[in-house]
Amino acid sequence: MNVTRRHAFLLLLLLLATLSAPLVHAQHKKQGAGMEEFEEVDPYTLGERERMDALGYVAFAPFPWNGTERTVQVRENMGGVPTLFVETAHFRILSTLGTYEIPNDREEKARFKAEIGRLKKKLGRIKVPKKKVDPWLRLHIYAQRAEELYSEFCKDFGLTDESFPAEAPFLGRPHKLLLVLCQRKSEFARYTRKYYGAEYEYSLNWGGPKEPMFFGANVEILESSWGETEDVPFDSMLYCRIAGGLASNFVDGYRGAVFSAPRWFTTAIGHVYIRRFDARYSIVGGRQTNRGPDDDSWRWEPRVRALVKNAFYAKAPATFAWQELGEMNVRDHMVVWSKLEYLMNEAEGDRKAYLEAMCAPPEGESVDWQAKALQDAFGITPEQLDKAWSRWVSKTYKKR
Amino acid sequence: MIRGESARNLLKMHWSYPVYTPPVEKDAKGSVAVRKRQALSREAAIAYIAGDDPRPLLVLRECKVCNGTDDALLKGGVDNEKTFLLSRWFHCVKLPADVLEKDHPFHALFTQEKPEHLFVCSIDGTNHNALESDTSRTKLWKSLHGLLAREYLSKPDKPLKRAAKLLDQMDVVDRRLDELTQRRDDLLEKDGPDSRKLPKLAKKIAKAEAERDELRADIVKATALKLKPREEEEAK
Repeated sequence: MNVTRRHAFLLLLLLLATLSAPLVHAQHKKQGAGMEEFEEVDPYTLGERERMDALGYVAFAPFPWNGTERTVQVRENMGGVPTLFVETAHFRILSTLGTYEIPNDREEKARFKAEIGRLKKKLGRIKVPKKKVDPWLRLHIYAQRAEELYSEFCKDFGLTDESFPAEAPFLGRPHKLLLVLCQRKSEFARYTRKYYGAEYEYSLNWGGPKEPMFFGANVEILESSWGETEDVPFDSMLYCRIAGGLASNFVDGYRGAVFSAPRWFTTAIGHVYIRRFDARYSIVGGRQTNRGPDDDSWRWEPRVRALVKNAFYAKAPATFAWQELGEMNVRDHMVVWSKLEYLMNEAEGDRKAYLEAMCAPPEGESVDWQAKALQDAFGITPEQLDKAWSRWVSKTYKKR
Repeated sequence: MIRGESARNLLKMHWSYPVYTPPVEKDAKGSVAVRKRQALSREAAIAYIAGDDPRPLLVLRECKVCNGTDDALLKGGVDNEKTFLLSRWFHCVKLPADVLEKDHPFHALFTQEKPEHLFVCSIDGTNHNALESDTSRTKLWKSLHGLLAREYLSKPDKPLKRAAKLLDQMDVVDRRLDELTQRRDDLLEKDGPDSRKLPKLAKKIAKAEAERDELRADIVKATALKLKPREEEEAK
């Protein structure tokens, strides 16, 4: 082989490697690393009652999981992978998330620091690794996030423990919410296959009249669908998915309802809490819209302002008529998020009454009862909402 | 080069993850007895994981040592596209690491002294061929080809070549479509729905979408191989 041909051959090999790289990156990254074993005993609470109480925990495994099975069977059905369980005041949480190396992402680093700081306040002096978050610490962080989200939701809508009957204390349901966080697609798919009859790839919201509301997701699918994995804040992406899913579940299962709230409302609620956590990783139609560090399309405020300026947005009556998520495009997602932000933070009215009405089983024509809910809670018609919201957007959101 | 969204969707491995649920046994009083977990026979295990899917099986065992990923099948830094494309003619099944435990329902599939990580076989368990993580790509593809030649009426070579070409074309259309929809969304937000540029752009988008849909249909058509009738079906 002469020099030129050898170079051509090497170039070809390089090209082949590059071609296949995006598809194999996630698998390749951990080759040979082995499936991580988790510590038997939580190194942060040592399983001591006093420390568990400080974190608001009811129990670590074993405990009854979903009414029919206990944690030990759940773990077996997921393939016996290392699994951590914790029961908090309002959730039962399962995690197979492995150790996370904190990437070089300013927002995520700062958030971890603050979150770990809040855990330290509850636990006293604990030794925490600086650049990594181990499986137990991740469990504590996710438990803290879930409970904080629950409190935030209650505060936003003026809900207290007294708002619900003793036999249904969890947003009007008798069961705690189930949250499943998986490292791999396989254990997540096995869970959904076993308990919900089908394998789901990304995430799943589920609930029935007599079963707990469920939300689960896995991180492997996020990693494998992202081209570049260096310094990408996958934990933030994962939690955005969780925040959106849990917030939707709060609404979809409210007072025993089963997905009766209008889809635009459930979607908008998800956006509100996702964007409060990290606006870069909003999810539209089940997918993250961010295309990388150079993409600023996640800055929705100037985009909504431009839509308002051109009067090119879905008017409230049209929104109330939507039946399916598929009827919403990206602009609609931005607009319903912004309108709900307006109702939750600016408009004067009874937010709790609005939530109750929107989550109750619909009576009559969808557009009519949603208009009535708006009128009863905020004293405005759908047309007046559009006008007031447009004025607020023009005044508050900056230009691009 | 990063593959576009349409190509990526077609190059996914579609795994199934069976979890064994034993038949419910009720006694005379109607009480349900909980059965202790136990291994099925090899035949029963194969039949359970094959289910109603008539395609030959490609079975991967997750492994605690090699991270339980697709390592045995996909290699970093080499051309995996061919493996992804070949996999569409198999029913790909991923089993958990604890399948090595003697009481796991599917344990009978991995009773060798050194249990294999990956194997292919016909849906009745015959034509079993073990593959390992250190198997070269050439050997892996040869093995997959071998079983496909036994199970299907025609060989996969031509469909593979055709699919690879169509995927390249799909990438071009995807890029164009991305760019056009981005421009349309920017225009809608910036100038509103009355922008004079919109109708022309809408036509281009519709054309690109039609091209993409046509390519998708072409790939489905190009890769549609017919399975040979099984002996028991022929006997009927």
